Amino acid sequence: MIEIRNVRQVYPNGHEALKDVSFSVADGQMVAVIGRSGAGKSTLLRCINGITPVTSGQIAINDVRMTEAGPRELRMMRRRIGFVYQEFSGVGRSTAFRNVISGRLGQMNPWASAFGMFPKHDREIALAALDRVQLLTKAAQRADRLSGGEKQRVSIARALAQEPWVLLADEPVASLDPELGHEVMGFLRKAATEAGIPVLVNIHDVVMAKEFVDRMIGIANGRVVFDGPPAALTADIQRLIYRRVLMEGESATPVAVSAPMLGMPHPRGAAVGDFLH
Amino acid sequence: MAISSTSTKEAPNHPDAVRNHPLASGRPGFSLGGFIPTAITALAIGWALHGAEFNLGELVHDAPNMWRFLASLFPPDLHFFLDQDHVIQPTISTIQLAVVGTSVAVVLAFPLSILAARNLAPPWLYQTLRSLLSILRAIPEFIWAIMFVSAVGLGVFAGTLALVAGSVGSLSKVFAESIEAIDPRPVEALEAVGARQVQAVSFAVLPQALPNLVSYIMLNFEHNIRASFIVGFVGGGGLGFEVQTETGIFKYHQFLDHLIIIIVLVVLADRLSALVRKRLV
Repeated sequence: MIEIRNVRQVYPNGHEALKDVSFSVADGQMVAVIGRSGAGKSTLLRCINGITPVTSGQIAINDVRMTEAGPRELRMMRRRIGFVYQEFSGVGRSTAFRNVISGRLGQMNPWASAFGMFPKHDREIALAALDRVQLLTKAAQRADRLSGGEKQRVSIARALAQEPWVLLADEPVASLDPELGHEVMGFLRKAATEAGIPVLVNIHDVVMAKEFVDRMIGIANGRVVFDGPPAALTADIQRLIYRRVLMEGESATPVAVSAPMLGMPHPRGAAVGDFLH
Repeated sequence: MAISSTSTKEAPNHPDAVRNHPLASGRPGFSLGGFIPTAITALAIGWALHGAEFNLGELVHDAPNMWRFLASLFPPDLHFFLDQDHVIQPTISTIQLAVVGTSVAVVLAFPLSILAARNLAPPWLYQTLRSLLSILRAIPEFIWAIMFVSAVGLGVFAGTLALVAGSVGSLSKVFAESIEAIDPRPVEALEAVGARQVQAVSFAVLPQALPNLVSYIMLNFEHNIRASFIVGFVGGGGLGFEVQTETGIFKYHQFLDHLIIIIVLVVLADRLSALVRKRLV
């Protein structure tokens, strides 16, 4: 369970990224955080796992206060916070298995694991995590030989191998085409349900998010401007979150809007939501 | 055809902001900020050419002398190639010298490079180490050899020590730079799962730096085969030691044998390096 209370975050350059943000996410719940680029979504996730310190307010994970933790406690907590990044953050030259078992480094003997000796217990957890994202057959393959969608599944498997208390994902599908994006969102959804942990996903693709999540949180200018079930997210509210935007209501079939754009060669693969703001 | 003609002939139909943009004109720009460093560099090179008595005319004029010297080397002494004491044994020694020189240097340079990498070590440590390493590098193998010969006496051991000392400084520097060139994101991602630094080095730093480290090791091996010649000259053993005696007593045909061997060794080292890299990258 994640609890965020009155969090304010001001960067050293004076930019106020978060102004009084409060909400909590229950175990097994998947929540999409939406908002324009620069609205404070990434900062929020980075505050939750303690990479970016908050200026004031409290963040607690399973009743452990991240905001008051010392360096040692933070390290202990980070072992239990799975984080999936937009770009593959593993090592391409290493195998999928090695990338996944690196999620368990915080819980293994530092020296033995540095020399490549992993207990059977940890090896099995890593392989089981690969199995859950349906990549067990590719465990011994180098990560740079995998496709973009498979790499992202390796990232999810690494997070799952941590046996996490919470899972945070920062734009996990922004670099994928819609089909692979669906697949990745499906695995995140499965993780929330099967592991019974809160999953918080920053995502631009509102339409896709609605398919998978239990709840949406809209952030604009560092404040929560919407918090409710996907069905309650009306075109008006969405306009408020994104302001100058092309609304879902204005294009009855959003896929049709993006179809011609998908035909264009786009280095990152175009996601539907990329064109909604 | 139609497309190319419209794009070339009707192109001027651009807004003023595009047409008047500085990058739109193909004229090379001129600025004092660009001219002064160019002029200073040109002057410095001219001054150095003069001081180094660099004279192509003289080289062409005196080329026949060089030709006479090369001609006096030929033909190689084919019989001498099989000489146990003066060819086969020193060749084996030279290879062993280079292998040990490089391996011991790698073992020493590896931990040093981690401590000398900006992205892994605290500033005071890497700055101190970088300065020490540059002092190590400033001393030529030739001088190291003289120092070690006076310490442990004439022979291959002194030569090996000289090669190690000569290699550690440069290997540590290029290793450290390869480590600095890695993508930092995997390291950050490991810190985010609570990994310790030794684990981050093993899981995120080394796998990324490995191809470069291996190329530098192979390059150093090749360099050490050549350097073993110089080190041998002052008593460090191997082929260089033999050559020093031969040139002293004008045994040019035998000198050519050794020259051929060293060229073959360096070429083989280069092939080996290519092979290892191909398998690894």
